[in-house]
Amino acid sequence: MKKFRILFYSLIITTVFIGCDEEDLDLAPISQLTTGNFYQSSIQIDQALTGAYSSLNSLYDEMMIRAAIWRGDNSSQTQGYANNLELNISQYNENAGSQVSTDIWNTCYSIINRVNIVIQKSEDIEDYAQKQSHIAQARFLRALMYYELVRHFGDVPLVLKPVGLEESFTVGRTALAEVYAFVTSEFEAISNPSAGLSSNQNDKGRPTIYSANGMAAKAYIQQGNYTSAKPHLKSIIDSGKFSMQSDYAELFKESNDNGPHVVFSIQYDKTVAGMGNGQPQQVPKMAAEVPLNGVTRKQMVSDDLWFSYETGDLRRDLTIQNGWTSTEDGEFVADDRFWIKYAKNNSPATFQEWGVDIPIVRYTDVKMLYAEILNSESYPSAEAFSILNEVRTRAGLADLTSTELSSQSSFLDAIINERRFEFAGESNRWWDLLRTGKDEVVLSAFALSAYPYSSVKRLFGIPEAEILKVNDPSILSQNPGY
Amino acid sequence: MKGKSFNNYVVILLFLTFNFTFAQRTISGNVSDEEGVPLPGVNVVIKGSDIGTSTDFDGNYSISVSNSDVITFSYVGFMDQEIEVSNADSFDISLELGSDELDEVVLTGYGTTKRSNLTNSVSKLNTESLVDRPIMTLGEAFSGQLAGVYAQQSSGLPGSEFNIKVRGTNSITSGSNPLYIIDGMPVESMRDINIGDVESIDVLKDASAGAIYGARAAGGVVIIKTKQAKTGETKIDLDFYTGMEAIAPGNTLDMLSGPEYIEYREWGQTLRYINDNGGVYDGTTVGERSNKYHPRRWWYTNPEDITDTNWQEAITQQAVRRNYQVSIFKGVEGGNFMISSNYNATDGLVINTKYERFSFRANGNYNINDIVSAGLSLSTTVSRESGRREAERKEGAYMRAIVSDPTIPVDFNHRNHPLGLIDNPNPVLQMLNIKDFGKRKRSLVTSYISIQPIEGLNIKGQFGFDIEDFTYDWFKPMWVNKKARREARNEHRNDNKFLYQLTATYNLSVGSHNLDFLVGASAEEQDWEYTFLDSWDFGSDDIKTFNAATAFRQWDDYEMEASLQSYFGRAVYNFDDKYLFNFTIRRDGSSKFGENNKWGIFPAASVAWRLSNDIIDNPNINQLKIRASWGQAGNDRIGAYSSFGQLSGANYSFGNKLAYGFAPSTASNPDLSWETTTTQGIGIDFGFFGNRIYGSLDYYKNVTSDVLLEVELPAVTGLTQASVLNSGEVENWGWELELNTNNIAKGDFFWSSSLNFTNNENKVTKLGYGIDQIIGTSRNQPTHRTMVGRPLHSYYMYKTDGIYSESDISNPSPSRPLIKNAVAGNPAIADTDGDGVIGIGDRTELGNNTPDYIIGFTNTFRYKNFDARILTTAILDFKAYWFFGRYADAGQQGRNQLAIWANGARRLPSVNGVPTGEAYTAGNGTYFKEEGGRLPDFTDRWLYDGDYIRLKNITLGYTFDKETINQIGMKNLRLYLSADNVLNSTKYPGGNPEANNSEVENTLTTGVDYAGYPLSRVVTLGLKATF
Repeated sequence: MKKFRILFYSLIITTVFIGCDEEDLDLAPISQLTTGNFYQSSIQIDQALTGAYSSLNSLYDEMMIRAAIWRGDNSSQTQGYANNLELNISQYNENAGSQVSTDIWNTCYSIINRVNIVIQKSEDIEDYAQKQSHIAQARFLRALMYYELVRHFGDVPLVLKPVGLEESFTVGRTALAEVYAFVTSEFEAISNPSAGLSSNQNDKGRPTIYSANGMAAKAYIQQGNYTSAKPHLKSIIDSGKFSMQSDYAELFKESNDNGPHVVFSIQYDKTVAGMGNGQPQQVPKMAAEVPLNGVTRKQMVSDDLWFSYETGDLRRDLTIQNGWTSTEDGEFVADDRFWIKYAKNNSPATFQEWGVDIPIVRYTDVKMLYAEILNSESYPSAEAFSILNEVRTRAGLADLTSTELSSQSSFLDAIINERRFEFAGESNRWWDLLRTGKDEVVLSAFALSAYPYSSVKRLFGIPEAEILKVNDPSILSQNPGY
Repeated sequence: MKGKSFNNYVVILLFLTFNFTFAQRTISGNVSDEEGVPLPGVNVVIKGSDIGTSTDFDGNYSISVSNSDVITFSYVGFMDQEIEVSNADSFDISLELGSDELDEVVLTGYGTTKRSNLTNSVSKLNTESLVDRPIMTLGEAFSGQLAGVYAQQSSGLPGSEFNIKVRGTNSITSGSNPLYIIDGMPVESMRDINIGDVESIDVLKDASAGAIYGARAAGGVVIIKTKQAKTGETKIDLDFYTGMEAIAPGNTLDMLSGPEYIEYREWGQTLRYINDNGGVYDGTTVGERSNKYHPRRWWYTNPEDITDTNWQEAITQQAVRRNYQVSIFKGVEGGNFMISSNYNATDGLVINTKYERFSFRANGNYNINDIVSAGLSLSTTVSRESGRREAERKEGAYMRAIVSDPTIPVDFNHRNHPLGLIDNPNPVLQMLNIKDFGKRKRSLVTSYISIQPIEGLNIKGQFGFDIEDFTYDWFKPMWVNKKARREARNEHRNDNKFLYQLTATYNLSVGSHNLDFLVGASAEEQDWEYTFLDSWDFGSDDIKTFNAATAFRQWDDYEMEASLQSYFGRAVYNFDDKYLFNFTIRRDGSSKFGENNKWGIFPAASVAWRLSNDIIDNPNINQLKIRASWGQAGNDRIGAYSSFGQLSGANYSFGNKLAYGFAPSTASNPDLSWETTTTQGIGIDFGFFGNRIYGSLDYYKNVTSDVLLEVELPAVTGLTQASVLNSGEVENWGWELELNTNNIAKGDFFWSSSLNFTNNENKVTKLGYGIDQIIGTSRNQPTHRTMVGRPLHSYYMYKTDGIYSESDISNPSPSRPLIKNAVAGNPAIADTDGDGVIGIGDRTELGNNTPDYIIGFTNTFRYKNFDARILTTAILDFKAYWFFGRYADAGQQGRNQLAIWANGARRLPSVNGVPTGEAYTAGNGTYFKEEGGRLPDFTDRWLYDGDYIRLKNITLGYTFDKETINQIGMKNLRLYLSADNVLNSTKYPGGNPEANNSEVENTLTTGVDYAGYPLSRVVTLGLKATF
């Protein structure tokens, strides 16, 4: 009897406890997708690509354009900044730890990683209809990011596939020329319709072959290579798909987003929370001139810019608000100027969510660069003068002729100067100064005596955080002057 | 046997009902000490029953017994003595001085051992020393009780958990908390466990002892066992206490009064006026100046509205603490049960803060026959807390009250006051009007069935769960502050854990050889659910629930799971109580770890030699044992999915058509595994003079490798969020002493002492991945540094060097460089790198927040029916950063300042706000000046020695004579008075040097105090009765 009992109870215990299966130790996250189980289908590849586009929003409405504006002579060096961060950049007094350059670096590499994954993982999936398009878009974004990195930082790590944890501490910088060569060859390659980019503009917001042509040209021109840039610009002009708006005011209206005056732009949508454009909010908190007001400004317009406009230039008041009325007491604050380009004629959803897109390549830009190239080939070029005057006419200004611009170099100066007003509040000015080598003359005169400009400021410092993380100058070195 | 125990049961009943009427026969005698001095109050109890008496004033006793009974004589400070009654009528007993502590049972994880046979470091918390203390949260019980255990109280908020650290901090960015085993169930916290139910607490301090708990034991293991009825015991225990709380010594801050504040502000504005006037004072009074130089305009327009408010008084209240516990015990041969209920309610010192807890417990065991037994331990708790978020968080109501303007009345947030509504809520109204309420339910249940098929073999199956459910509601009505919207928050968290466990133990004794084996397997499953809603779209103040919200501002909802599979074994060999060997091994597989590293093995070995049983034969050396141990344990405190590369939503709108996208947010790390702590330790256990002096001495060294470190990855990975990698190495070492002495035991008077001494130091020996140092930041500025070769989490700030004198400013020298825009009177920053300018290189390491020495000292006295216990703790050699100084000791104009900012202490003397013209002189560190250079926020100006000595508790008790109490049907009756936080001695100005309410989650920046919730002094009066 006793033996039976022992057996019986042993059996119970054994069945109940030993009978349990071994625990499943391979538990995947419930509330989150993982890199291990995503990227399995064409739809997921498409979503991963969208994930890469996603970071363009903050990159271009917060970091890149602002940094370029602060850097140039369009932005004040003394006034009303929210904190020292912006002022330091504007005064050429920032250090390698600057949050702005760090954010640009981080965001560019974040997008690069995302598209590297798209390119790698799409290879693992059987052919599907949009595969070529996905890869080509991914290459466009990657080349765009390297273009931004190389012109901001010089030599940068060139990674073309996802980087592992251990490996990431060993990645060094690739020479500027090599990075530029990669950028231009990529843009050139995908400007061929067979690479997969669309050749019509129906697919709004995605790069087309013309976007690739435009970026290829800009990247060449930034290196001073007019010859290679020319056919790319010409192909855009010859396509007949683009036109300059006849009214400058129409260019920055939300309703004209993705219109024929835009070759490539960053997309913003005020109807979805968090996806609006924050750039226009850089206005005084209580300015009655702006719907819904703004935050404390981070960008101040320089006096130099305001007073440099030709009399009668229609673009001035569409770009800059001169003084403002306080919503609190109705008082007018004179001589306090701020950018209004994106805010004027648009209305936001909340003060920080505007729908207007930010153009990266405008058709006007394409034409003006083309005029610049024509001028470099022969003087006087009738077509170059015609482009310049098309821009001036739209701005309400009189034509310039070979009488006023009597030499090749005076035409070049005129067109670079025209670009300053045409693209004020956009990012081109700083890069124009650099590529034409005018930066030292212009900015040395412009800089405050306490913080003189020097050519080392053409590049940002490699973010201090990155230098510290790698902690080996033989792998990741710092730019001179930082 | 059964019949016998039934008899006893009947006897007990009769005994209770008829008071000795039916005793079989009476024996009597006298009890004295070894020198023949009679001992009064000696407990004389029939073994295995509740029947007993105590000796009278002359040491005489008489008791009713039957011939087969065994009588136990016990008395504090003396060894117990047992006699068999047989047919004798009288016994005169002489008790021997000493202690039986060394024979007590210690829980070692899946088993027990006698303290005298321990081979590694296990400390037993003497629960006797906790009796009568008004302890709310179990963590408090650890204060000053155990060598090697630090119980840090970072907040005085009722119900807030203590931070328990066993032998220091092993990890850099991950938690180093111990694992808790409650009635066999491994859990993460002691939250809401009622101390009234706790029978014993044992702490496995080293990895050698902890290895049996494998991948989770690197931070030590705390084993808690709840009360069970002893065989033969039938009783009802009542324990009631109620007490008053007041702000603890040193926690009241001396601030400027209303008139002083006005004078202070006028001084500040006059300085500004003089500065703006080219440094010349033209003799104008405040009233004559423009608005710009008025401190507060309405002081001059509405002088009748000026008050003198003591905001600290206004934000605090007289708090009451109450505790009621009823426990019922019944134990018979073959079975027992214990049930209890407890209610604890503690008001907080800050108005409208409160912690309240209801807990219920049922423990029972039953042996169905001599083969099978089963048992259950069941507890359920509901706790409610009010005001936690508003009162405790940094820049919360308590802190802001202290710096509030003392000239404004407490109820000033109305339009009738000249100041009207202000931007920040009035802290008192904030506490009164904001709904801030959390409730938590926790059920912890374990059950087992065990069989003993053959002698020595025991197979035990165990099942348990720990379920915790927490809801939190927060609602801020309109008009608590200016222009504000209504805001609300609702959180719900549900954490569940399940345990399945099977163990087998086998004991084999052959001659002097004694072998104990354990093998076991266990499986644990955990899941978490969390939901969170946040909205600021409410139409009314009256409905505070989310049905009234019209939109969400933020929300979150997620679920997680984890599992753990374990196999473990232990072999203990004991030769003749002389040579002891202990080997354990555990293999843990955890879902938390990367697919390449799911399984880990944690071995341990320890040996001990009891010299006192072997080569030493000296009657005065009762115990002398040396031991040595080695072992490994792990730390698995990472997120459930840290090894996975996770994706987050990342959308884009193409031509205003939204497309859903996803992007990686964390790195995939298939190699991620636990961090391993390897312990090497040696120790001596001793007992001398009949164990009147006993204790132990330990030295240990812990090396923690593959530290779970949050590493910032280079951006080329595409990830900006830090990832947890196994990298780096940390060493902890120290020594510990536990010393107990029975100083005097003479007749009526008894005095014993218990001292524990802890020394712990650490340093980082490696960080890996090319990292030399990890900087911890507060407010985006470096405040802490963890650097190779240096202690963890050291303060890293600018060092001040007196103040700038007039001549420092007028004749700057490279040896005393100035900060930007410095003026005389500004604190001077030391040029520690000697480069002639003040820059980021001048930050320097300035100590750390981890105490090197911890001392606990308990003295227990007894005289006749009175007893007293005094606990003193000392926490030494650590720094604490009083960040509150930046608000209240910086000469700010908008906030009230410490009283030392009144005329003449911090400032140069002035009359009606006008400086009398004395010069600032170098080396005079007393004066600060508000105007001038922009000072770095983090300097050693507010870094203080945190060292403190605290008279932590005094308890006085009176136990009524058993004879008297028996007359009214009670077995025991005791009254007591207990006082906590009686005296405090520290140089730290902020009251609680252990406060930490800055970035609480950020382990890199420990010890930053924003005027944390104050500690309380509690005086309670209690009654304990046994029926």
